[in-house]
Parts: sequence; structure tokens; C-alpha cells
Amino acid sequence: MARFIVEAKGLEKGRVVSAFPNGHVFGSQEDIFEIEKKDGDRTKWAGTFVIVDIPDMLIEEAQALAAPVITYSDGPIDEITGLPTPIATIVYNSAGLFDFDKMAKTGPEKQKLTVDFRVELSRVDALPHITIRTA
Amino acid sequence: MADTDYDVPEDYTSIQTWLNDQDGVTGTHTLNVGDQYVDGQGLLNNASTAATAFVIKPKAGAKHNGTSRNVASAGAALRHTDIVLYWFSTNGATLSVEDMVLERTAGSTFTVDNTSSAGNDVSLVRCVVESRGTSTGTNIRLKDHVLTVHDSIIYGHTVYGIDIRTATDQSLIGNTVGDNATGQYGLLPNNSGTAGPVANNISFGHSTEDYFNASPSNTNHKSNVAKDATAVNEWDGGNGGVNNVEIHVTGDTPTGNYVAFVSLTAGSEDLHLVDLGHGTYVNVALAGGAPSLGSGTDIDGDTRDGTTPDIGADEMAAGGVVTVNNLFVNQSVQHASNF
Repeated sequence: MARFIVEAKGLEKGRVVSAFPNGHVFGSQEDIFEIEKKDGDRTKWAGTFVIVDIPDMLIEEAQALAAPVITYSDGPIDEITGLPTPIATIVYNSAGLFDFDKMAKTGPEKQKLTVDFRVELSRVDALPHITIRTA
Repeated sequence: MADTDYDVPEDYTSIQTWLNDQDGVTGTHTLNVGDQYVDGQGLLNNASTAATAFVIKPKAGAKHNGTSRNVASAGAALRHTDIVLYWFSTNGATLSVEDMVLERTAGSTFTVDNTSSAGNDVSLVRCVVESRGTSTGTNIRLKDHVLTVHDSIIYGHTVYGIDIRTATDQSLIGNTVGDNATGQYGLLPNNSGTAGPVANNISFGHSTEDYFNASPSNTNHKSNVAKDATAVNEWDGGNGGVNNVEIHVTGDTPTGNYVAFVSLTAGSEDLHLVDLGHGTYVNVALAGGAPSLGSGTDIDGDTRDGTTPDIGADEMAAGGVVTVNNLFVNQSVQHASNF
């Protein structure tokens, strides 16, 4: 039950940005079909994101992949509590890193990724291509 | 590149995709959020950010109604089970949030947090920032930068309402900072003698201190109201502050000077001010504030009185509320004149 929007390029290519339930309708800056619907012009698509559909993945598992990996360390002593102030550090902006190029295995799937910026596959087929990052 | 201006959910369906998509784009980036749109976490952690500022605000007509999003059926909100807004590594970009509800429903940390020197200044104006559900901890924490909070409601924290003791500077004006049960401290500003204003705030319902840390010589700290017996004296050195007030709701009978809200019933809190109409004791928040501070509007967007604004997030409209006691007196007079 999951739709992911994933970074399509840059240093964090494959980073999960957000996770939604199946059927989620994206905005015109997120989905090439939506910008085509809005402007009638695919050439305006910036190619920033890829949409990955994994229909049989629970939304809870999907949202965990979208959540940042944060660690806490001890900062200065809080004069009130006498305890160290917790200092948060974001280790990764999302736990999930998708290799969507490898998810799109065959000719038609690769074509769909290139043209429509989306991939659809089962959880079992997707998992080998998802890196779950931890602190 | 020029500034950008986008809508949720038409252009983006999450705050996070909007933030990510502005990576490397210079200028001021504004996101206009639709009515009844509730999103999750917004996290900026990208040293390659080239923006000057990010602005998050509702579309016209999509603003909250001055109470909790938990209570209201309308309004634009960010809601998450952990930190709602994390302004971590912004490469100098500022964040301005206007007229939004920011609600944390679980976790033990912060609703709005920035502990990174690579972050930058944060401004919250006419916002409702609250901890609900199983959440514990602090609502707003900022270090090493400037925090502005004007005309906002900060509610439900179990530790600190606003903790900016190590912020560079501050402007905390016209806020209502409260907790109904377990909050330990309300306002913990930078206590430098020259730090920016802490004025026209109500802080109440905290188990230990409504205000923490003294800077009596700083005349920027003034006209604050506290339930504590000592809190405001610590902070404003007597600059128009009132401490040891009673806290009431509609229908109560005060036994001393007080601040009264519409409701403090858990789950349906409404921190708009009411006048209980007592003949002897007064709602000290009404017309008790210092002038010409803050955004010039209250939590609802109503214009503040330019000379004697109300203290706290709400500016009670003149004549807008008829108190039960006054109504009774007026009716009695009317009946008497008929005889």
C-alpha cells in the first residue's frame, strides 16, 4: 500500500523523500503526468523525482523508509535539570535509499522509468534494491 | 533564479518534496498550503541550500481558527509523530512560518528544533504550536540563532514551552504559552541584559516556572503575565508585568485579578480571552500590553489595539463578547426602568 517519491538525481539520488498510501495523487512538480495534465507539456518536467509504487508494502514500513535517521548526543549541561542537553544530529535524511535503476529490470520497465519517471514492482522484488540505513 | 511561489497540494503534496525541490535554487521560496491540508515532517538538512528564505503559510481562507488543529475542523497544518520542523543545516536560509498549526502527536523531543550552527533564524507568527497525544518534551528549541515568535499559542509541552536560552537573540511578543497539566517551564529566553523583547506574553499552568532566568535590568522584558507568584518580577523588573494571577475559563467566578480563556477542557482548549465581568477583579490581559510590538495582529489576524493591546495571543474584539454577568446586570436595569 505504498507510493514513494524519490530523488531522481544529485548526490542523494535514490533518497526517499516521502511515502504515501496507494493511489496518492502527486502535484505538478512531483509527477510528470501531473505537469502534463496541468500544462499539456512534458518538456516542463524537471526530472527531479521518480515515483516508486510498491502496492503490497504496508504504509508503516514505507513511512519508516521515509523517516530520517537521527542520533542524539550529550550537549552542555542544562542548568535546570542538571542533565546534558540532547543534541540531535541527522545522519541520513531518510532511512531508505532506492536503486530504482536496478528496480527497473527489463526493457519495458526501463523504458517506463526513462519516459514516465516511475517504477512499479512487488515488495519482494523491490527489497533487494533498497538500502536501509541506520545510525 | 527568481523567487518561487508554489501551492500545496496542487504543485507539491508534501512540504518535504517542496523543500527538496528548492535545493540549489536562490531566492525566497514560498509555499501556500490549502485548507484542511495536514502534512508530516519538514526537515531541511542540506548544506547545498542556496535559498535566502523559506516561507510556509496558508492560502487565503485556509488559516486556522485560532484554536488547535486538533479541535478545529479547518486550517492548514503540519502534524507529525516526531519533530515537526527541523531546521538543521540550512546553509544560511531562514524559515518563516505564518498562520499555521504545528502539531506533534508522539515522541519525547521537540516540535520545532534547531541545534545546528549551520541552521539559521526562525520566525513563527500567528501559529499554534502544540504537543498532543502521547508526545512529551519541548515545543520550540533554537540554539545559536534568532527566534521570533509573535502572536502565537504554544501549548501542551511537558518540559519547556520555548527554550532559547542559548539563542543569539529573540523577539517573543504577544504569545500565550500554557499547559494544562504537566508542563514544567513556559518561557526560557536568552537572559542577556541586552537581548531582544519578551513582552505581552501570558505564561501559565507550568509546574515549576512560567518564566525562567532573570534579567531584571533588561527593559525589553515587559508587560508579561504569569500565574507564578514570582515569575514576572524575575523577568520584567516591574515593567508593567503582572504575576500571581488566577487562571479561569468561561463561567468561573474569580477571587482575584485573573486571566480567563474560553476553555481549558482537555481536547477542546480555546485560549481566546474572555472577560468574566466581575465587578471587583479584572482580566489583567485586557488592554494590559505595551504598544507597537509584534506583528500588529493577533492569532486570528485581527488588528491589535495600537495603544493598549491585550496581552497574549488573542486581541479580544471590543464589544465582541457579552459576559454573562454584564448581561444579567443590563437586563436587571432594563427591567427596573420598565417599572
